[in-house]
Amino acid sequence: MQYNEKVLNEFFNPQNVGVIKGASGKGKIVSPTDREIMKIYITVEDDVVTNAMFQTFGCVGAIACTSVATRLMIGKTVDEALNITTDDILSELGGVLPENKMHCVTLAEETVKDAIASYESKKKGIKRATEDDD
Amino acid sequence: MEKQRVVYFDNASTTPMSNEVYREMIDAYGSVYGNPSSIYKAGRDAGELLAKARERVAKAIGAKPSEIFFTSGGSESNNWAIKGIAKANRDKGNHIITSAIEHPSVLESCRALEREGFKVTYIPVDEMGVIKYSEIVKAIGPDTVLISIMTANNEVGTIQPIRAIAELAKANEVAFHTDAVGAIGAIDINVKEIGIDSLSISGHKIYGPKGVGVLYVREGLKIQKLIDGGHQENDMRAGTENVPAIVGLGKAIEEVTENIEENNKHLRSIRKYFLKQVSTLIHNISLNGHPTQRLQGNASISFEAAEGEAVTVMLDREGICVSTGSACATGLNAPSHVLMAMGKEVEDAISTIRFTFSKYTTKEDIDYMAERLRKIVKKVRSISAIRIYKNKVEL
Repeated sequence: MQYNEKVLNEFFNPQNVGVIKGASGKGKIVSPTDREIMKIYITVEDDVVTNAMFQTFGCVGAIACTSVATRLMIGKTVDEALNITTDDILSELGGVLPENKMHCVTLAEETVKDAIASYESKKKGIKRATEDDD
Repeated sequence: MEKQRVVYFDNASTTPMSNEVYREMIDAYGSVYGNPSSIYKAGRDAGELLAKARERVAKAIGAKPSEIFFTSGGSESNNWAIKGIAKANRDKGNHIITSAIEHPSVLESCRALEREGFKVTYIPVDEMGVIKYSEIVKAIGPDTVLISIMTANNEVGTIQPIRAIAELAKANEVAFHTDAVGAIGAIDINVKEIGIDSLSISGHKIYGPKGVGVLYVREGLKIQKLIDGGHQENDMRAGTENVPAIVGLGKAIEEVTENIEENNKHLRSIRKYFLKQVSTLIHNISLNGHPTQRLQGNASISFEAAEGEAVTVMLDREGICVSTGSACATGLNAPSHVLMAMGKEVEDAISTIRFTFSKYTTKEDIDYMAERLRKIVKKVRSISAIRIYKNKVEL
């Protein structure tokens, strides 16, 4: 099991680390097996994701995948961001993760979707049970 | 470009080879090519080297040379002992007792036997990683044929009460095997005095070569063969012996057992210095394992909110070699079975780094590591989705 250079480069130079105060949406996914945690915060203006930031408690692959996910989200419309796939994330990372790390990319994709779901709920005025304050 | 310094703190995974061991192996490679089973001189020369190595191993653990069998390593020795003793004694019963924190080669051998109808009890440990002796007492029954408990744990360094367990096994006429791979050279082990029936040793954890190990089998113990074939190893383990590696193991075990006190003194001072540096520089950490009943070369530390692999990969870029939990952990990012058995939270188990030192480790190595480790833990925590508030961690 070895990470390729693209994954390592993303890990050593993660983009968009941090929290957005008063974010339009907040996604949070916890991996059931090893309790890795991914959080993505987004700012949405006129239906476009203008900013995205993340925090990840997890391995090299998990950090690299969330970093890529936030980069891919920024500048996309909400609908476009919702269609970000695991393949989109992987293609930014040389196409592959070590076999036992493939779940990281699924977690990142789920966190993207959760951030958008949070934004949609907020827009409708529904407070989600999982929402925590920052 | 200046060559990067390498600081090796993963000696429980494997040790560098001692110069003396290397020299004896090179001599063996260079001058002796015969098959020890052959009748002519080239074969006899190889046979002599084999006999000398066997005597060295026997002396190191207080056994007879005829009770020493060379194998391909610790995993083979554990497989052989567990499967071989269980199957040879099946007429007596089908129950085995082991612990929850054994090496995978022990645990998987037990699982293989479970698939063949054996019953296995996995004894739990306390929060310091000490096997619960009273649970072994409770578990022993008329069907019990084998107890296998490691001498010292490879992940957290806790030394087990094998003397008491050996006595208990003997009183109940149950065979006692111990995986001593991590303990040889760190603690004095005399198999006769303690009452051990079978014991596993690996070459590459004691400054010797990889791919070679030993199984000690007490004279008279019933054990089935694992490898069938020729008549090598007193007709107990087939396959032409790896003579140079065996020579290396013989030298290595002689060196480590003759210098236990000196090495432990060095390791104790290194460990103390390491813990002082790390605990001064980094907050919200916890030390795993037993405070005194332990291997001096091991320091297992959980860094709250800083996932272990992320820290390890950043340390690697600085030339510092450590491992997360255990190098042998298998599965999909599964938290260490040892730390989980000790009752750690999953988050803490996956935020654990194992530092293991050797006779070559210096205080300068620790100085080189300490400040880099501080920065790296800080960086990983700055990315982390778990926030630390002084002494409180919030998910």
